[in-house]
Amino acid sequence: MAYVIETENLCKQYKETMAVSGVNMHVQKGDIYGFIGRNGAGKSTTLKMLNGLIYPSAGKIRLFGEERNQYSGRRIGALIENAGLYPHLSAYANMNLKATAMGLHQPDEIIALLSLVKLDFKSRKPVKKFSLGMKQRLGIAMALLGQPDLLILDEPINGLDPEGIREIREIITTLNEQRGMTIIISSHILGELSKVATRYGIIRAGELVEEISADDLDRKCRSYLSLVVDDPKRALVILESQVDIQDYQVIDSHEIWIYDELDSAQVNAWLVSSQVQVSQLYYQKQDLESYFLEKIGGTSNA
Amino acid sequence: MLNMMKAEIKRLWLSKGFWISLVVLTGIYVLCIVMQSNAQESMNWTNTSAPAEPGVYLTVDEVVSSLNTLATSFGFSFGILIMGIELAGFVAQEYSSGFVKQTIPLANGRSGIILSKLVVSGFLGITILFVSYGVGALLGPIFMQDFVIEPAATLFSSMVLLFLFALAFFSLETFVCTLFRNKTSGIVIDFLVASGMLLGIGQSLLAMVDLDGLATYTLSNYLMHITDEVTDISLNTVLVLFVYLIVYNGLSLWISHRRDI
Repeated sequence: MAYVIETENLCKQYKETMAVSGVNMHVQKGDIYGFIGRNGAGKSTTLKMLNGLIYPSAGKIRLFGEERNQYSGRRIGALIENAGLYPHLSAYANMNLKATAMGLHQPDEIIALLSLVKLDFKSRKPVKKFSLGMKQRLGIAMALLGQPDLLILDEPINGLDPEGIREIREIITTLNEQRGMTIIISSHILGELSKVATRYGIIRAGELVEEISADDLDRKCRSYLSLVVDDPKRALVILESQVDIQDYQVIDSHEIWIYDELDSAQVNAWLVSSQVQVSQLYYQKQDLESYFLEKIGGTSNA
Repeated sequence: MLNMMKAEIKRLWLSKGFWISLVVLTGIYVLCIVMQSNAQESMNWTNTSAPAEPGVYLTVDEVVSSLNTLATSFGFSFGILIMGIELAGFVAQEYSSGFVKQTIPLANGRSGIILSKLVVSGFLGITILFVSYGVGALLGPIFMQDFVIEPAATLFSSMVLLFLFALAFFSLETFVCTLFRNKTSGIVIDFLVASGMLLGIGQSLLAMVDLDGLATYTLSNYLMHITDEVTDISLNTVLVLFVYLIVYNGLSLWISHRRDI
């Protein structure tokens, strides 16, 4: 499997605090990888290590199948925390400076990128007069210089209005679908992330607790009929013979979750008539937010 | 790395601070030339025992009558100070704006950040020399009596030495700004070294360990006696300046490669 990013036991320690501990991340080519965690969970620290801004305390990072080298930086574009812009220069001038530093001499590319993020390339307005949304969009345009294979976005929609959020989402989707770009987005706004991500990495207190594809996550967040019975084996035999249930999961010694669509009253009737004691029966749907909050260890917004 | 150097020169060119510093330097230099010529013509010498009259004074220990003396006494001395302030802001802004996050991940980014500042320092050094000698050559013959322009070879060797001084001095500033990541630290070191205020402290500290002879080799001491150094160029001075260049840039590179952004 072709991994664009693969980390092995990645750690970062600041004095006595382990900001990142034993992260084993796997990002496949073409993924939109949603990196989720609470504030202070270690998302930005991890992304900075991937981008080479900070040194890991331990562990390895493989980018595009190789150890980091002088060419890795050209294949990665990043917007981490703030956009990193010279405030007295215009959008075009900032882009031009970075392009010069990269050895690029393509004014057309700069104009195209500024148009993509809906900024006027002719404007001489200095960046210090930009709104937060405009700075974020310019930051994305800067990250896209040189047509990177991997785009790292750290909380790109923070502080944006709904219109701005929609625009960023469209840009991300376009880049992934039309250019096949692999994208890592860290965020704690779950609703927005769920609209674009194809894979998730969930980090809690510096540890990557789970990596899961969007499809698997959907399966986990389906509605199900929860049964608590005295004899699950017998209950399953009965239900298989009656309605040929296919999709179910035995949770523990007494609980069964059935994902097939069934009439709960009929299920109860079958089991009771077969001398199976049913102590609990209800429909449950675990929504995305509850699932993530459970994983990241929060009861309020991530 | 070469591309990063080009980008930094471009950034300096776009910087309002650079052009303002250039205008200020030129203005102060011209003012000094006029004041010095008036003082020399009036033969109004004040000795240290007489009470100073109100006004703006610049103490000069000699009669300025040649381009080299004019350029080093006024142009270069003020140039180091004024362009040093600009350089401090220039270096620190890369960190304060966060643009360093754009450049560090590039090929040889951590080295490029420091070496590109050396190129900028060289550019500023050339600018100072251009103003010092250019304006001096234009206005010296007009304002100064019996003004002499030294032979080209003498001027060239003086300029090379002054260029080395500038590089060494700006390398110190770059190191301080890289270490502390703010412009105030660079401006403070600029003033302390260029004004000679650190010289007395340095001499005392070295005297405590019986190494006061080494004070002769400090940047402050060289700058305080810049006209003498230029008149009588010694290989010793050139070597010491190269050592400063290597040590300060080496330290800056070490910091850049060790520290997280």
